[in-house]
Amino acid sequence: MKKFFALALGILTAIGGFVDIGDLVTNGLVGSRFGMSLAWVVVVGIIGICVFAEMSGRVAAVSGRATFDLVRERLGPRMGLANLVASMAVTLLTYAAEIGGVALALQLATDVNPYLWMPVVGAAVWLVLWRVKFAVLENAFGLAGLALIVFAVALWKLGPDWSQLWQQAAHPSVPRDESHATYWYYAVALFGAALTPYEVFFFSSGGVEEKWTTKDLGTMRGNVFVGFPLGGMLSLAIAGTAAVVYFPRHVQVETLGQIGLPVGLALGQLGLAFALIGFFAATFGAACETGLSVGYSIAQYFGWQWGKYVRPLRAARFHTVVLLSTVVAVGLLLTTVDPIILTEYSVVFSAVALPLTYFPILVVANDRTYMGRHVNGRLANGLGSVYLVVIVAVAAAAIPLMLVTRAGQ
Amino acid sequence: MITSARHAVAAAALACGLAVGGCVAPALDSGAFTHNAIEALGAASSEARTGALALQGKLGNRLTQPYVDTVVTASEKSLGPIQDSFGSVDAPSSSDDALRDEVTSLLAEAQDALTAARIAVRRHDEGAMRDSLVKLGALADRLTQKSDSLP
Repeated sequence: MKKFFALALGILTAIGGFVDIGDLVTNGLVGSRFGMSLAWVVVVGIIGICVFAEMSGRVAAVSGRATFDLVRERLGPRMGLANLVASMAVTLLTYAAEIGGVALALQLATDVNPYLWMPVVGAAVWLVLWRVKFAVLENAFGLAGLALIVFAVALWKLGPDWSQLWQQAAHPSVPRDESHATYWYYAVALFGAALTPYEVFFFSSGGVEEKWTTKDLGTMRGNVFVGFPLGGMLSLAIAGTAAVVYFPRHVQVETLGQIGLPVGLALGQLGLAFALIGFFAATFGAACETGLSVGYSIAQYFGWQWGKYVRPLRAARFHTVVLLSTVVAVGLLLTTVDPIILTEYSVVFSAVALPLTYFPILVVANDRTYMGRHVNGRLANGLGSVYLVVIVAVAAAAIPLMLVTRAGQ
Repeated sequence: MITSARHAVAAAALACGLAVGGCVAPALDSGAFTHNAIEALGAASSEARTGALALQGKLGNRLTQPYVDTVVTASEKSLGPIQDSFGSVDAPSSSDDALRDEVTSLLAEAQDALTAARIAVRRHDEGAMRDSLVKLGALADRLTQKSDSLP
């Protein structure tokens, strides 16, 4: 019974914790401009994150060490440093975007300028990372993030032409007033949003924080293979509401307020309240995850004591990195950069950094020295290899597409 | 060491180039100018319709005051850069002056309508909100029609 509750809780938090500011913004924007014609990218992205999250979780459970703790040891300091620099830069950018997202959610609830909220949010995130236990942090925001299910309810309540939505999704085509380059640019952005590097950093390091062993492999796989796809359904629901309300009106989503507006129109103020709670929980939870991920990656590379399973005094350098990255993230936001623009760039740069994050996972998960009999099987290797090719293609295409489309304009 | 420094400089230059490349939209000829006009009209129409949807939600008591205020204010603010961006590009020939004047005038109307909507929301003035809703809807249609009429 205890195991069942652990699995259920894990799945629920995986669903609620799946969506972050990148998913919110990219899915809302794509739904408004392309209808459901890019839904296939979300599906491809979900399968990809499941494949690699399972690998990184398995590495953590079998070796008792986070995947990137092993990267430097297995691939050498140069590869480890390239991996660290690329993924940490993207994660730091994402961290800033998440803090900005929390501030935007608070602005929608209070009408107070988001730039006044940003330092407050940064301080609150840091305080949570310093004081709150890992399990509490993960479960509380994951469960609160389930409020985003309101998007699925709103989609149903809006009474869309389901056959038309299915037609858009099943027979993807480029809308008349969009170019092929823009279509593929947003395909790359959606892919980057689904496979953001910090997700595997956090997942594998979280496994170590929670002291996973091989006995936890079943629960971990349940979280990944059930929770992540259901979380991905929330992404599709967000795109769906935008596709129903905005796509026929040629309205382009550019703000978090626009993303929640269809929920209010469909379900009234109660629905809107759920959407706001969902926005807050999803972005605050993801801010905690990205903040920790920056600390994890640096501390693991340099071999410092890390994590929340030890007292802060014993992992002083790890907590210092988390504090400094919070200061940098808030400082970046206070330059008055638009958090939504920051998010759009962060998901595209995520796509660029993907090979440096996911290639090492595939290597480590194939190493019998660490994995013993839990080394990758044929299916995991086959899928991992196919995805690595896709990831390299996406990474190579991201910057040229950004230039050609003037960042998706 | 020098090679590493050069790589760093090149990377920084590339990043700057990317950032600038994403912002600048010069009009080299009438075709490009018309394209800019279509983009500006489309973006303004999008903001006007967003404002109208928010007002519709507010009048139906489906959205909260802070939410509507934030959405309408964001739409109003977004129109500034659209006007600046279009206005900063010179019409390449005298035959484009009429288009420039018409688009500039429509963008200004959209700006005024969203400002009026924002003021109505902040004053909780339902009558003014209804007026703004009608005005924004009609203006969005005109912006779309103008955009569709361009080659």
